[in-house]
Amino acid sequence: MTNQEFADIIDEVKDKMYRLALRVVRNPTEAEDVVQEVIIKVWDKRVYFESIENKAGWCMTLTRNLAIDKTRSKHRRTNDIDGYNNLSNNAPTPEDILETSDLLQKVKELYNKLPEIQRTVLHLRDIEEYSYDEISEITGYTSNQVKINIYRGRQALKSQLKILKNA
Amino acid sequence: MSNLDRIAEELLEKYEQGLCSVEEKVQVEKHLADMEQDFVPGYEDLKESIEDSSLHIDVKSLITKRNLEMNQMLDRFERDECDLEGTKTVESFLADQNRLNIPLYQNFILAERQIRAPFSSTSIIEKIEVESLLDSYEDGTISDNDLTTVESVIDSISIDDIPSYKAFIEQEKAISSNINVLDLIEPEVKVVPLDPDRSWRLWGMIAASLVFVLAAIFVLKPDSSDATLANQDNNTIEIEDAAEALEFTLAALGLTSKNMKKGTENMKYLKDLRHTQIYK
Repeated sequence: MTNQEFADIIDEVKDKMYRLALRVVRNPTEAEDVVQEVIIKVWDKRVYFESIENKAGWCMTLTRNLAIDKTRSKHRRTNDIDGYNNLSNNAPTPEDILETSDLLQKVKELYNKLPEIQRTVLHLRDIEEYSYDEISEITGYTSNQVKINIYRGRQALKSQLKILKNA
Repeated sequence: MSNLDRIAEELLEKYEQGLCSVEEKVQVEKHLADMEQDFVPGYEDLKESIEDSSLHIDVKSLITKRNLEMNQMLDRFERDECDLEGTKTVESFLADQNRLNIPLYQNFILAERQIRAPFSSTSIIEKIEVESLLDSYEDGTISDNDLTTVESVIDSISIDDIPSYKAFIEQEKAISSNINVLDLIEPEVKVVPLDPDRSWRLWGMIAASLVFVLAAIFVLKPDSSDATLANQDNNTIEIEDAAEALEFTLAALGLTSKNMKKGTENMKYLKDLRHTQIYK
């Protein structure tokens, strides 16, 4: 595998890896470190990496595991809004996002308060649009566990959002 | 069971048996419809919100009962313990739930999808390669070709790019700068003047040497009264006749030969030295 081939594969998945790491560690700097560490690990094992069929999935698994390790080793603050600074200009409805920025921030806070498993599977399903089987492969949970945790995460969010909206 | 729970249970039983009045039926069905949207099995926060709201006790009880059943089914599903019918029920339930729209959540998802990693993969690969080179440089296993690359990297790279190599890079840069400083200092050492004490001593030695040499020349100067070659120069004559010149020349050569023989006569005893005890 040439450097360019490796870079192409990483380019495809690095944003997803960063978002997942950000979801788990809840800190942009830490998330960046996690992704860079994962890329270095993959580079070191690039001979093995070449033989893997679902390369993106493997990268995501490594990212999640490393992010969890980081989180376990050090408790993080839950309220971190820096991630939103990276919103690009071609967001679908910038005005809407601006108008609802406060609410979005609160949604993010609620999201970050979910248990790690719900946060991760919800992220992989709703934001990255992975299938249940792919999520199961990345996280190591059974498909049923994935479904239930997605459901519970959504319900918890929904109930909290309703309270927020009524307030 | 509290009085309120007991009343609610009775109302639910009436509803199930179709014995509710129209007013009671409308009330129960309205709240059932509302709560179907907000059904969250087993979540304490939702219970609190229900308790805080003006919902009627009958609905609360109904939901609690349904929640308990559904929650148990979901737990069994999660543990892969549901039978086929139960699995179908749960799958259908989850599908319905997943179709529910959560407006703010949709905006949140769209915003999240715009987040990009703040680095390029190429820069990370370059960094990995540099670190690999530095490792082999540090270990002393680097090739000659890579050595040139590393030296230029050390000169040009920012420590912030590879913080883990900060100490190493700083050390290498310090060594490199010290070598340059020594190069600059060396010529200056040559032009540093001697201190006054050493200068006087040197000049004193030179003067003493000159005096000694002059004295030696003066003492060893040959006596001018002797007949020497120098004096003979004053007696030089010019002979125009060739035969006479030849005669004089032969006489001079004969004289020279005679004197040479006389000079080497004493040296013939030198060969006897090898027979003495000195060299034995």
